[in-house]
Formats: sequence, structure tokens, C-alpha cells
Amino acid sequence: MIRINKLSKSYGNKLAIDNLDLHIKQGELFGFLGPNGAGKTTTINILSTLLKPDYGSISINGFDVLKNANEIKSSIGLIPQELSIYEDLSAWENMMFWGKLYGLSSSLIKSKSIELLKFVDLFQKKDEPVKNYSGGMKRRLNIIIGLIHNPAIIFFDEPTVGVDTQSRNFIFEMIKSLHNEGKTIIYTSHYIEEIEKLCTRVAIIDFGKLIALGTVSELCGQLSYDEKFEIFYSEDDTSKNQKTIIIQGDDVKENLLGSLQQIKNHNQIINDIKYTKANLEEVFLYHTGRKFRED
Amino acid sequence: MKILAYIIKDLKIFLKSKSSVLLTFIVPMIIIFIFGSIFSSTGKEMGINPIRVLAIDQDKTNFSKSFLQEIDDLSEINIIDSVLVDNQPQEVTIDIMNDLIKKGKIRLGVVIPKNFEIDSNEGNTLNITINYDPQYAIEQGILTGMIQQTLFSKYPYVIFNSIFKQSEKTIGKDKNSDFKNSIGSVVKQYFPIPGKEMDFDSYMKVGFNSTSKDSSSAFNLSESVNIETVAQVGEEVENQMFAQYVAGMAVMFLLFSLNAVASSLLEEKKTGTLKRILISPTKAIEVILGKMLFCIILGTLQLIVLFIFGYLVFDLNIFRDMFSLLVVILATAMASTSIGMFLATICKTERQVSSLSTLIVLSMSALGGSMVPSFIMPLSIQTIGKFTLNHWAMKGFTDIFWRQLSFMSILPSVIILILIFIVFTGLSLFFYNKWSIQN
Repeated sequence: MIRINKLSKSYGNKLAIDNLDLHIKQGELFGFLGPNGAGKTTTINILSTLLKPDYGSISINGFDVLKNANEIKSSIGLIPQELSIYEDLSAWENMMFWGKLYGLSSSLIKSKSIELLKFVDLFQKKDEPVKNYSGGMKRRLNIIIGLIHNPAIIFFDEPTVGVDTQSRNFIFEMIKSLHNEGKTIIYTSHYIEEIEKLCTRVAIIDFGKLIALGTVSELCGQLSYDEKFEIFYSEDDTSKNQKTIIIQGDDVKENLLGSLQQIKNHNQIINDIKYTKANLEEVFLYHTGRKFRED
Repeated sequence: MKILAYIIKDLKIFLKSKSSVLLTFIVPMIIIFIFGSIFSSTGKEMGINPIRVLAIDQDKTNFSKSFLQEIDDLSEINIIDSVLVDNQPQEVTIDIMNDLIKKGKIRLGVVIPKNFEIDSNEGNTLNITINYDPQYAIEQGILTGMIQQTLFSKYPYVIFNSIFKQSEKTIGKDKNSDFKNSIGSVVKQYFPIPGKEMDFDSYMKVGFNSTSKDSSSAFNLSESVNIETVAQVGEEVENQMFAQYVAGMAVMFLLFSLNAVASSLLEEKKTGTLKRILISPTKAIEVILGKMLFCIILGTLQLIVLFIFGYLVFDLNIFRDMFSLLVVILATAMASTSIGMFLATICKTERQVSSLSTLIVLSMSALGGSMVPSFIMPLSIQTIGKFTLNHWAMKGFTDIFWRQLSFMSILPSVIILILIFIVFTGLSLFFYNKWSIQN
């Protein structure tokens, strides 16, 4: 469905995407994970025809992004991070405008708007100016506007930044529902838990480079453990000459108990015990040697 | 210390915003330079415009020719005595003169009547006619003053002849001779020409300097010349003042909406709706024209409402040629909107738009004649003014309300306004395309 070959893009001297190769299949809920500035939004902007790549090619549904931009535009929907809606207009008027931009008939726009507004529980307030809506309501409207033309591929570009927990859960439910309908969803985020929770396959990028690709379990499988304990101990309570025991692999719990007993037997002092479960943050650390920053 | 911290913070923010610096320092400097060039002596150095006066000499005597030559020699006046018809110079007739004034091709004409020389010698009142466009009343006033000054300074005997002729009628020929000699003695006593002895008649022709305020007022010289001024345009126009200035006002108000036009597109960019528009299957021209059409409709409505207001409150005759009026309104709104859209596509922030639109509106209004009549500007500034929207829009409206010209006569102004629209729309599309697919 989406095929990216040797994609590169620079802003001046800064390399934003570096020789990216990807293949996203139809119906996937594909996650783009990377810290801020990793190149996620640049990739989405190129995929949605907003940016020209410096090098490489992209085809979506067999159409080249550069040569067949119009064909691609009709089949994609973008849910941007910012609220891209007209706040002085009502939800209904917004839906009408965006529907017309996609060349839909008035009757189709109306029926689709009713369906979508009901779906996000905004139908009762459809005639109120959007500026009177709560933040969560605006966020929901922002999402369904991107769905008015029933796109086969939907890009969610960090849709939960600055969103409260309730709205965030609502967005997750919505994405799952769209995925169940068979839509191809590309979800970018720098929140690891979101990607782990939602996505069927994940690409981790850093400094524009693809550093890992696979399902969450495949990526976690690249680590040498499912879970591990680190025991930090010392000979006395001064915490000087602190030593560490790492316990991972099979029989973790039994080995942990054994190690703790041994430390006790030697009258040594336990300073801290750290538990780590294999996750994408650890995968990132494993590949880059750096911690993943979510802020 | 907190106050100082605030000052330093705001100063840093201010200096980092190039548009704020531009608006605060550069824009006023440019505007002051424009106005300074218009009003200051620098303007003269840049070539202040002599008033072009079409002359008809019906007397064709040495005196009338000499008189016109003296006026032409003045730096303020440029006498034209023939016009080109089919590229052939042709002598000017009264009808040609009045027609040219009505069409706005020339602002003033002077007619020297027959018997001008005879009247000057016999002391009869000298009749001179100035035909003019009342829109340029200041120029007419300057010409009248220059004619009087030339007569008084170069041909004072004409004035004295007139005075003595009048006194002869009152006091009789014999007493008048004594009167003349007495005056002559007094004048020669107070305004002697060293080393020259001559009779009073000779004295007046070569030596009397009538620029002395005392002498001109004492002899009541102004009554010796009758300068008749005849307006050739706008006499039948109701509320002439409003009809003259409505064009300048209308265009100024329209230009002020440039900022709104440009800001609306940048607002879309800022909120992200433009990003959504860009990924929809909408062509650049549809976005630009969609935005522009709304602004053109709004600008057109704004001007229509303004003119209806003029009709209701100031009796402005908007119904004489409604078709021409609507065409000029539409063309002006189109040109104005295209400049606004161009600003929107080259500016990155609303601050930049604000700075640039302020600069453009004030500069175009000043140079184009919305604020200051263009004839008082130096030639170079007048030439620059022709590259402004204001000049052509004002010309179009003035031709309708003031000169009451036909649609065909207004067409050149309309074509130029539409050309402005095409050029700036093209540039807007070019820069918008740079937005839509960034390299």
C-alpha cells in the first residue's frame, strides 16, 4: 500500500530523513516512534504530498507521490497535531466546507457528517460555534474532519499532544474502531506507551534513520530479556563502592530471591532494586545507547 | 530590578522581530522621505513640475507674444501653444482647449483676446481669460498670480496707462496731465534710476519696479487687469468637493483592507487549516481565487456602500453612468485584493504583513495622490505615482464623477487596474506554489 524507497530529506545542513526504506501494508495500524525531531512529521508531510523529498521515491496505492499527488490526496486523510478547524463556524459548517474541498456531493457530505458527528457525540451541538466547545470536543471534531471523505489511509500526527486522559482514551477507541473498519493508519508519536498499546507494527526512527522495525513483541525480542532485575548493594551504609547484580533470562524470580539471600548472608546493604520489563524504550536504548526522552 | 528585567525582556523580543523594527523605524523613515521629497526644497532639485498652460493668442501682436514669452520664461509656468492632431502640430482653438480640459489632458488654458496690445496702450482694462479644471484650483490661482506679477513687473506702463485713463475720465484731460506729472515726480523721487534722466513714460517702461508693495497698493493696480476664470468641468456636478475627493477616500479605505486580506491567509497557515487545504485535492489557483473572490466581493460591496452613502448624504450622482462606476469599482477591488494576496504569500508572519501593508498603503496613497495633490509633487515623484494603484483608481473615479467621461475614456484606467490584478495574482500563485510543495 505504501512503499518508501531510499527516502532522504534535508533542511539546509540538517538531515531530517536519511535513506529511509519502508513498506506499510494495507489495513496496518503502523506506528512511527521517535523522539522530538527524529523525522516523523517530515515523513508524514512527504507522504501527504506537503513536502518534496530530496531523494528517493514513494508510492501510495501504486501512485507516485510526486507525479500523482491529486490521486493520492483523495485517498489520504491527515489528523494534524494542531486544531485545524474554523472556530468561528459551527461543526456542521466546518464539515460542509471540508467536504466540498474533496468534491463530495451535498447529500453525501450531509449523511457522512451526521454519521461522524454522532460517532464522536457532537451531533447535538453541531450548530454551535466551535469556539464554544471544550478542548476535548474540538479535538474530536478535528479528527472527524479528516475522515469526511472516507480516506483509505489516515495519518495521525501526534494527535494526543496536550490532550487530557479522557480525550486521549476516546481517540484511542476511535483509532481502534477505524482500524477494525479496515483503514490503514499511520500513527506518529513520541509517547512509547501509546505506540505499544495501539500499533500492530512499529518503526523506530532517530535522527531520520530507521533503527528498528517490527511488531512490538518482535522488537522487544531483540533484547536479551523479557524482564530483568538490577540489585544495587554495598558493603556498608556509606553507599561507597556500590556494586550491581543484574538478573535476567530464565527463572528470574528464583534467581532474584537467591541473590537477595546471598547479600543478606554477607551482611551487605541493599541500596536499590530496579525492575525493567522489555519495552520499546529499552529497544531504543539498546539500538542508540541513549535514553528515549518523551518531553 | 523586576522592572529592568521586563524592559530587557521586551527589548530582546523587539529586536528579534525584524518586522517590529521595520515598522518602528524604517517605515516612518520611508514615509517621511516621501513626504519630505514632495514638500521640501529637495523636491525642486528633483525637478518640480512647472504648470502646463495651453495658450491661445488671438491678438498675435508683439506685445501679446512678448507677454506670453515672459510667462513662459517663469520657472513655474510652461506655455504650450500648439497641440498634436494626427501627429501634426495644430494651432489651438477655444473648442480644442476646452475639450482637452474636460478630458483631463490639460488643466489650464489662457486666452489672450484681440486688441490686447491696443488696450494696453490706451489704458483700457486688459482682459485675459483662464479656462480651467476646478479640480486644480490651486494651479489656477498660481497662474492668475503669475500673470498679474508679470504685468506689474515687466509692463508697469500698461497699468499706469490704465490708471491715467481712468483718472482722465474723472478729472479731465488738463488736470490729468498735471496729475500724471505729479505722480511721475513722486515715483522718480522715491525710485530713482541713478545716472538716468528720462520722462515718466520712458521711466515706467524701463525702470519702475512695481514689485514694491507700496506702489502697487497705492495705485490699485489690480483693477487694471481683468482675469476671468472659467471652469470647464464639474459645474453641473452636485457637491463638487465630495465628488473630487471621494476617489481618494474610497481607494484609501479599500487599501486599508489589504491587511485583512493578507492576514486571513496567514491566519489559516497559523491555525493549520491551510495545511489541511494543501493536502486536499484543491488546486493552488482554486485556493487563491477562492480567497481573492471573497475579498473582491467584500471590497466591491465596501465601495458600493461608500458611494451610496455619498449619494444619500452628499447628493453624489452615482446614477449617471452606473455601468462605468461598477466596472471601476470592480477593477479597483480586484487590483487591491491581488496586492493583499501577494503580501500574504511573501510574508511569513502577521507582523510582517502589518509592517509591509502599512508601508505600501501609506506610500501608495502618498505617491498616488490620495493624500497630496500630485501636481505639487516633483516630476520624478509624479512619475513614480503612476505606478501605484491609487493613481489609476482615482483617475477612473474622477473621470466618472468629475469629468463625466464616457466608458471608452475610462477604459485605459480599468485596463491598467486589471493588469495590476493579473500581475499580482500571478505572483501570488507563484509564491503560493512554493508553500504548497516546499522544496
